[in-house]
Amino acid sequence: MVFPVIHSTLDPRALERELVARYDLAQPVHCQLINRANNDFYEVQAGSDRYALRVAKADFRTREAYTYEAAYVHHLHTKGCQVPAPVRANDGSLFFEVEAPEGIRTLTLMHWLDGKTFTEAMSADDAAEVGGSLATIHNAGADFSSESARVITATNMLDERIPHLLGMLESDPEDHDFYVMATEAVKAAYEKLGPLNLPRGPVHGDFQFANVMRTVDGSLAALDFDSCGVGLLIEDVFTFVWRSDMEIKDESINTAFIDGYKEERPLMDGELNNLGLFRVTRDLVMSSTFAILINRVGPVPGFDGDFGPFTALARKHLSDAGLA
Amino acid sequence: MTFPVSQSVLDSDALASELAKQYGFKGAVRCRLLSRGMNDIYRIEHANGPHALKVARTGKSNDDEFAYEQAYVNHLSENGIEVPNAIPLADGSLFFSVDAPEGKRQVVMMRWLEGQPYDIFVNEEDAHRLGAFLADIHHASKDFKTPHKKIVRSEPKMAERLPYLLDMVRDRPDDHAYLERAGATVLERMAALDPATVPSGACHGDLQCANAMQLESGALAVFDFSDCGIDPLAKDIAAFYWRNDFEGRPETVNQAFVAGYESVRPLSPDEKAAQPLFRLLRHFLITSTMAQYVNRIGPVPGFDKNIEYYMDMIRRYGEQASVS
Repeated sequence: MVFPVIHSTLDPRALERELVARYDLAQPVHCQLINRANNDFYEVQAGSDRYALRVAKADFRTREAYTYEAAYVHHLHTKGCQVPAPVRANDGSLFFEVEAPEGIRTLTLMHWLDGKTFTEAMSADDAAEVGGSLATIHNAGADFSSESARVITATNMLDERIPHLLGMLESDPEDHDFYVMATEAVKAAYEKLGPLNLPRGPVHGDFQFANVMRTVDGSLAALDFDSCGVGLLIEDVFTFVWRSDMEIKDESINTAFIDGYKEERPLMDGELNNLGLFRVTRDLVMSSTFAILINRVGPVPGFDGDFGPFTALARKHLSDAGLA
Repeated sequence: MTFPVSQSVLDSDALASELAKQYGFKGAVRCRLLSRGMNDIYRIEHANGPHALKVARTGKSNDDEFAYEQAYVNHLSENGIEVPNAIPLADGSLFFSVDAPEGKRQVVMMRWLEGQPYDIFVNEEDAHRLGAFLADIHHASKDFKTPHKKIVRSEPKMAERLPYLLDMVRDRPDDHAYLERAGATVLERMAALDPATVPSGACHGDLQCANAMQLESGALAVFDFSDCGIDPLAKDIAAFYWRNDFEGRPETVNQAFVAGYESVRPLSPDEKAAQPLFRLLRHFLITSTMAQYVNRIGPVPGFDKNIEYYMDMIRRYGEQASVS
């Protein structure tokens, strides 16, 4: 009997054959694994053309969610946003599926974007520009609709993921109890947001600096729409802030990012009055997300199983938000 | 049909259940993936204390070679060398295998070493100590006997993997021609070594600073015997050279390592004369191996498609070994 596995790396030669069968590509086709983590990415060279191939982790999203993502990214592309637009296969589809040992994996062939993703060395000017680009994406997505919308709700993510984190913290009652308390406080605060009718719409879902690229022509491109869906636009802002808090650790970068965002999409009072809540919510979502990931992909840079930095951020931001 | 895969990550919960069965553990067993690379390494928590677990990659060693490795490690342990010796299963054997989707993978549970791994930037004093430690290992290996067989076989591995490197430089005719020519010369010179003056024995195969640690007791420990086997003893030094070269450390660190080695086991004139050749072979082998495995495990830190550094190293040490 084949031993159960949680992740596999697809054979690149078999992938080449699959792509040749499904897409109208120049020959020869060569796949090279360039990133192996939650999703695997391959660089595909087809004749003189370059593409990126994403092999999503198994059974992570529904087919409807991938349909939504592909349509959303395609929509942004048609609106002039720089995004890795999916390539249409011979049968007209924007992605396909294969049966990997751990489950169904969804593959999306995308146009290659040439440039450099941002690092923790980004400047305040860059942050402002990146903030503006997120608002542009939000504005461009305002008229996008899809029957297969994936709804993103931070509190639902916490319900789903926090138990994994608590399981890992069984031997650390202090942190365990903090996360229980913080989650309850955040969920209670979210219940009060309903009447505010905060702006909702298509969101990127993980707009951290490493998912933004300065392309060779000097413009900005957004990558990795894996977490996209319909949600509170303001939550998207804090996907940037979380990564910035973890690695850049310079409040002026966050301020510049938010100011840049507001230039393109002014924030409502209800959003401005709850920035602290959205910040700590993202902290909790990410702590619990990494707890799930740790046994799938191994230690993640900056996360070797020590929740210290994660918890310190969450504690500070819970207090800042007046929820401690 | 299940899509072909090149590597997988075993399910941690299934692994914990298997360990409980194989080792006769009572109570809860928890596996946490620590690193995912050529082999996957886990930390195992259970009632009898932490252990390390290695899940070997498919095809790295056959069962006889894997048995050699475990017998060698346990021999060293019995002879006073601090190593992660294999823990016997309930039936007395030292490892078991599972059928992963990509093929059979051996699994060995080992003693957990508590200490501080060597920083990759070792100084001359550390290098001297590590050199002497390698010679201690070679001394302790002298009376090692086992019915199992494992030959390091760097030369056939290099010959097998060199085509992957050649493929990466297919658009660079000068480098391509040099690698072909120099590679053939290295193999010829290795074949011409006199086993009487360049003796072979059981070797670690990859004793570089990253595979050594200082235990809390102050003693040195060595781990990762995946590349062990019968090989020229003096060639075992070259793994240290390679890593030191890779980290950009001065030649005085290599000299200190060799001096430390010779303080315990003096090199014969022929062994000394062969050092540049061993060093060049190591650079050839590692670069070719990375070229081969980049599609299995994804980018190796420091080894992306920019192979200028590696070509520089091969040419530099080719010149020192009078290989042009």
